[in-house]
Amino acid sequence: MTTSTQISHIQLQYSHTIGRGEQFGPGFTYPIQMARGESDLMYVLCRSSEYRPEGTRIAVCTVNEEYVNVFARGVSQQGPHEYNFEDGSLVWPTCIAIDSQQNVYVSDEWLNRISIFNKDGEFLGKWDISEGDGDGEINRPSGIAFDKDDNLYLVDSLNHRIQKFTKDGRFLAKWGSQGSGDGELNMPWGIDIDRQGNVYIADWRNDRIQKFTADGEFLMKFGSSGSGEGELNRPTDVAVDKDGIIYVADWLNDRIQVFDTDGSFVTLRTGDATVSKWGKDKLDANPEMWGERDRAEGLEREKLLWAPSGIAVDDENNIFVCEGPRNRIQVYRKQSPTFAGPRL
Amino acid sequence: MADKEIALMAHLMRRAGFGATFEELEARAAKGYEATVDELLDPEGQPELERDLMMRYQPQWVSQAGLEGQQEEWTYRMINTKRPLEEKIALFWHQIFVTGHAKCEYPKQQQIEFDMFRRDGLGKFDNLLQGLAKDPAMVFYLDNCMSHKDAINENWGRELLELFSMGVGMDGQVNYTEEDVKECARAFTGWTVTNSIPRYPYGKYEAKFIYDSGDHDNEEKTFLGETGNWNGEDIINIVARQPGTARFISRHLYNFFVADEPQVPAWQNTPPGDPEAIKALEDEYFRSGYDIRSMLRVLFNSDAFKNARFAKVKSPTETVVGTMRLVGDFDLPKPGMNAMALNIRYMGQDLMNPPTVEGWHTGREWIDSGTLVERINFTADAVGNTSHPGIQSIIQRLASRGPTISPEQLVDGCLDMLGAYELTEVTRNELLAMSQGEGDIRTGTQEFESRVGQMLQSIVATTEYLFA
Amino acid sequence: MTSTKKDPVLVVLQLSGGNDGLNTIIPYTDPLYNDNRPSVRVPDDQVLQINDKIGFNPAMGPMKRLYDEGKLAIIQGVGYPSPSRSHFRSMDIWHTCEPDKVGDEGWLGRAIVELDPSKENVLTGVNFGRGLPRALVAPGVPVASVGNLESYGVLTGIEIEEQRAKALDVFSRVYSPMIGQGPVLDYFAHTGLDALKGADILSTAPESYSSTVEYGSDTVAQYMRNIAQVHLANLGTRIMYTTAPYNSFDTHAGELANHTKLWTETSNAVADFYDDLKEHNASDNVVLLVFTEFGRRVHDNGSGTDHGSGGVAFVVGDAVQGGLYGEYPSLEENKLLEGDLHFNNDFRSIYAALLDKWMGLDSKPIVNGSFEQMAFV
Repeated sequence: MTTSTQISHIQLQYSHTIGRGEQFGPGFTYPIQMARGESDLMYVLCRSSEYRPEGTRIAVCTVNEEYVNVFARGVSQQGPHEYNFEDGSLVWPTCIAIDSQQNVYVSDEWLNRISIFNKDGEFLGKWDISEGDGDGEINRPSGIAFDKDDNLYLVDSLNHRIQKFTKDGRFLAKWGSQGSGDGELNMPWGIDIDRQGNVYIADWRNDRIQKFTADGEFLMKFGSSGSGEGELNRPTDVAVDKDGIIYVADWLNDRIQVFDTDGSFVTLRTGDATVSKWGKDKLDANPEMWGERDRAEGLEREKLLWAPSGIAVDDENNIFVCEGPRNRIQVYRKQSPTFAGPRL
Repeated sequence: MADKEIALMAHLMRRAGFGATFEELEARAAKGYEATVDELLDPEGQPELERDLMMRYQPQWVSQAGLEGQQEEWTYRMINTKRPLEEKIALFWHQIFVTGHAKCEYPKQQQIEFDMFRRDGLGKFDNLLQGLAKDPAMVFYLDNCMSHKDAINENWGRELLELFSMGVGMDGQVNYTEEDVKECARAFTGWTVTNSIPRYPYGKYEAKFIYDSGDHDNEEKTFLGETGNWNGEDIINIVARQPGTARFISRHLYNFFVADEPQVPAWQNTPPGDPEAIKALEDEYFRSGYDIRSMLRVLFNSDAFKNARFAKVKSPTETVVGTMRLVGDFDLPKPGMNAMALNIRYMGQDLMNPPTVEGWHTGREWIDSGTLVERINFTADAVGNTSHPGIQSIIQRLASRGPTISPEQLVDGCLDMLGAYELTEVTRNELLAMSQGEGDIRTGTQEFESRVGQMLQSIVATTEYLFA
Repeated sequence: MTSTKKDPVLVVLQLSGGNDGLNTIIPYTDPLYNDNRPSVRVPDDQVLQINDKIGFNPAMGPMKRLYDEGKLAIIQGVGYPSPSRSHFRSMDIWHTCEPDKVGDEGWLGRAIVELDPSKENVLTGVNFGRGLPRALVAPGVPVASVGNLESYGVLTGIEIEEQRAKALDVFSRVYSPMIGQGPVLDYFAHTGLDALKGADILSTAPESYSSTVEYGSDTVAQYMRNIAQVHLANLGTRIMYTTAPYNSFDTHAGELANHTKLWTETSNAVADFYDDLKEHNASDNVVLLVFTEFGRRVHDNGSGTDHGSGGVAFVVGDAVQGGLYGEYPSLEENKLLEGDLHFNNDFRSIYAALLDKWMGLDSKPIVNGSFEQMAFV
């Protein structure tokens, strides 16, 4: 008989932090969501605010924090100019998803629009969708995700439902209605799709995650209101990795949580941020701030997550947590505790 | 002429809140005046705003890092709150206990202060001052963190007495001496804030108040004739029981809620416009143990208040928020919030960023030719937009009076709907003449809608409408 | 109408956000410039040379032309003691001339009081933009703030012209001061009529204007055009003010591209404004001051520059003695102030020269003291 320590089969190891607050160029302005592109590219959707419309953009960088470019732009609502919702502009962008051709889709919950760009940021087209609650009509779209056949699943938040479109914008299916019962939704926000095509929804105002088949059949739910382990406070987003492990951005609890394939709680993280590469550049240009950091009270607060709104996972087991108010993304790696050798 | 009860309710809601639609006035009048006063004085009895919804659609309200964003957020709160006096009292204290963005540069820190005003602003005045003295935004704004036992900085010590409690004097006398200012400042040495985390690269973090006993002047002090080894708390306790404080706070309440008084620096030598009303408030201050809520209950139920309709010039904040509540716009987060909230700045009140520690000059000084144009155009644009639900509701109500209405019914009906406004004879005749010149007023037509819109625009452009 | 002597006019263009002086007038041969700007550097072969040490940013061709014509003065190393790196505070200091305490009166507001003490002209000072900059604030001084000159006025939201005329007619009558209505209402009535009058007069400016100069479509260019229109309409306006859009010069990131765009627009606007006045024989009585609240950090941050101190200002006009004023601040590390350029010209000495020598006013009470006056005007 041997004694053993029960260990979780999943551990998260903090990797690094990407970002700094910036309206242009390297840096983010309220990064609300992101999507991984090919090789090591990441597309970060910056929501910014209407008084800083130049900060509303898609920032492209690498997982190692090399700046690539930015595209799309916010809409100025000040000054003598009229509102301009021309092609490629964003007002209230909510989510970003990439199809198999590496084209970038962005949802905008004010314009009820999906804007489409190629991987280099060139504008390809848009769907201006009628506001309404009929088939194919939407009211404040939030999360979007592609399945392996390039169908787009869209969270239709104020209609409390999910809709499925072809990648050209043709309506295919819908499910869900307002409520708190199984399969019902209340102002849902984020979405992800696993390898089997199952759909996971951050059921925002119900403080839970729901899992559906590709056809919208209810499979399971987990989470309830609260701040204990496995409890959620307005979850904004969900991501599922290649092994079916589920990651949840637990917005008002300022943390992320990890759940097993069956929805049981595994672990949580409240943040481990360190100074990013871009952050170091910034501090080097303002050297007195290094000194201020030495004197500062409670510098450990810098680690903590604040209202994480987006979570993404890639095939290399990187987990990306978009932390809007801090203009950064904390990156974790999933580790398996299985002995990997070769040394003791 | 509006029902007297409606007119009084409109007055109460403009002063204790930011105005109300005619529907709300009717509902409140049915409940009764005193019941409404009680409800207003008990904000916690009403539901809170849906913060999660606000933050979902306006994420910059989470980080509270930008001045414009927080001006939007506060404006949104004032428009949509079910607890109007909670926001109104926060505005009241902000106009007295001034901190400014130009120096603090961290709106969240000021928001923390405003949350204290919301929470404690109707409570005991001494408790509020104790909180203020430990509020990091204030400690930094008035340099108390730069005051040391060997080198005092008098800024906070002075303003606590001059601007936040007693005022320089009353009835032609002074309330304290320069020596009292020094002793006061000495008592607050060691009241400081933590070293902050620099804003780069991830933004600021809230500061915390700390008491540094090693930097506190631990010697005897004589303050307002009382000698002891006073610390800051003792000073506030002494300040709170001064007649000068009762007078000063009473006059501020009167000036903000009842009728415009001269600007604050004149109070030492200019007696109150209504000494009896001030006396009643002073008495209640002491009777209730410095309780602001009790003072306001006395105030709102007094004849002095009830008879003071239109005795105050609306502030820019009251103008913009009141207009939005009336027309029913921005009752959900939507784009355009920033441009809308900026109108308050254009009219001369840059919320959270007052011109000096003395705050804003109020009353007639809100108005100059530039701010008047901003005020009239903003208000006229809003009430002239007949697609706004609040304006539609006004149109429907007027239309329900019959297939045609008289010019008098149009003018007086619009005045009622705006909150039982009253015009001078001259102005009313001008508006009547304008209306008469355009023939029969047939309700239920497209033209009727635009005629109501025009009438509302003309009314809000009058001098009478500058008042609340 | 012929006037023997035209009143001097002062125009101020505020570059909000803190213009990077180092990339505006560039010390292109100083090796320390290269060292400190690994990422945010203008290549030396692109600089528009002034001499073998410094030159204009390549986007500033039109202003370089004015410099070559002797119409543009460059004031180097501008600042004030104990510089603030806060936009608000630093701008306040520039506006109020109060570096040590919070002031509530603006230097131009005070100047307007001196120019028109009995308030004969409601348009002595005009601001272009929404909301009044503190520089123009003084008790009892009416200053029009014009968001859009083409549509400026009272009740402009009423689209149907006939209705608006009727509403304005009513407005003008209900704002007529009447006996016995008390000082507050009396004041409001006067204020309302002033506003109406100012708007009426201003509305004539675009109508009477024609020019071969084509300004850019950006905000600064359009406001500079508005300023030219008002000046050319001979409304007696003496002080005009406008601001680059909110914090646009705050180039924390992506500076090279942004700064090029900003200076292309600004430089064109400044030169177009000068040429426009010149075309109308109206450039001799106008001086333009271009300033910003602070310079930026000597060392870049990888993509832009952060708040610093020690900036550069420009003064433009026929009456201006073009050239270089002050010294270019040293980039040597031991001469920097907390990593920033050390100022050697107090901004109040620029104001003092403009007020005394150009506007003919006593500058001391306006700028709160005596300052050495440069000879650029």
